[in-house]
Amino acid sequence: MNETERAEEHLRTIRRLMERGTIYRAISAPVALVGGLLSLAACGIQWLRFSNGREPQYGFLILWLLVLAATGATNTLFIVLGARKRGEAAFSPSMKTAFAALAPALIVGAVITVAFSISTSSPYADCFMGTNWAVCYGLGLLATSHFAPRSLTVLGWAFLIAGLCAWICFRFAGDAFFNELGDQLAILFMGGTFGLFHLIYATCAWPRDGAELER
Amino acid sequence: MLDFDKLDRTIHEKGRLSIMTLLATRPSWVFQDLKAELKMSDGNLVTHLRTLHQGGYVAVTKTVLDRPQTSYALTEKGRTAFQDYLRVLEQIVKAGKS
Repeated sequence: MNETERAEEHLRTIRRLMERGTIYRAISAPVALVGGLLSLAACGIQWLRFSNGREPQYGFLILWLLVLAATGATNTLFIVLGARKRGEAAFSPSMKTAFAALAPALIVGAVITVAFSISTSSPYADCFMGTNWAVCYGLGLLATSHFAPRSLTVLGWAFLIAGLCAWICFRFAGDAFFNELGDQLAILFMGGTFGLFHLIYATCAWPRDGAELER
Repeated sequence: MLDFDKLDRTIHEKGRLSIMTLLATRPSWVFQDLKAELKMSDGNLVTHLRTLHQGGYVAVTKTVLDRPQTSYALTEKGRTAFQDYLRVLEQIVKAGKS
């Protein structure tokens, strides 16, 4: 190996280590666990309300906004506590980069949600809002993939594929189908994706023996 | 003529180069995280960190939160030395290709 090749080898090593060192997990395993459990609880509440025939207008939207708010608050709390433990600033440059990558997809999701909730009635809106959230969330996670661990990228693809498949199925289902099963489908879809996917991710990404760097 | 003799010998050792690279990615690293990322033994890592600290490249901070914790960060001198090291490596590659 000549000097040029040795220098290239050193630079490759440095690049690989720098990439590993800058990996940022936008959603930590404990937050995914909390989010997954809250989602399943929300599905349970909604199923009970639906069974009792007491589903209020915008009930689906309000309930899931509450889940989002609770999970977001948990995420912020974990970030602040983790940063304090490491003696770093709570809002690190890595976190700001992750937020900037996530923001466009989340903004699109929010705008479509507002448009759906104004123009379309339930249960049609509930199903399409759910798929819209899954697709936008998946795209947001994939936007962080150049500095995210592999498990988060897989989660992004899972949400994107599930959202698109469900969207295609819902798109070709007739009005009668939605009137009959729309509410149940929306609940099952949300439980299967935001509930189950997050729990599977939390299990796979959970830190073992302090080997994983949660940042 | 550029060659490996121009490179900073303190950084050039493989273990220390890995430590310097990781320290360049974040404001600071705690010992356990460095150890987990580099898969080095405690003794090996401590020896390299001591060499870098004695060279003035790495600052050490000891804190006690729930338990004692030692953090490491690049000093200005260390960051400059690392950047110079990278520059020399790049020049060697460029010179080899021209």
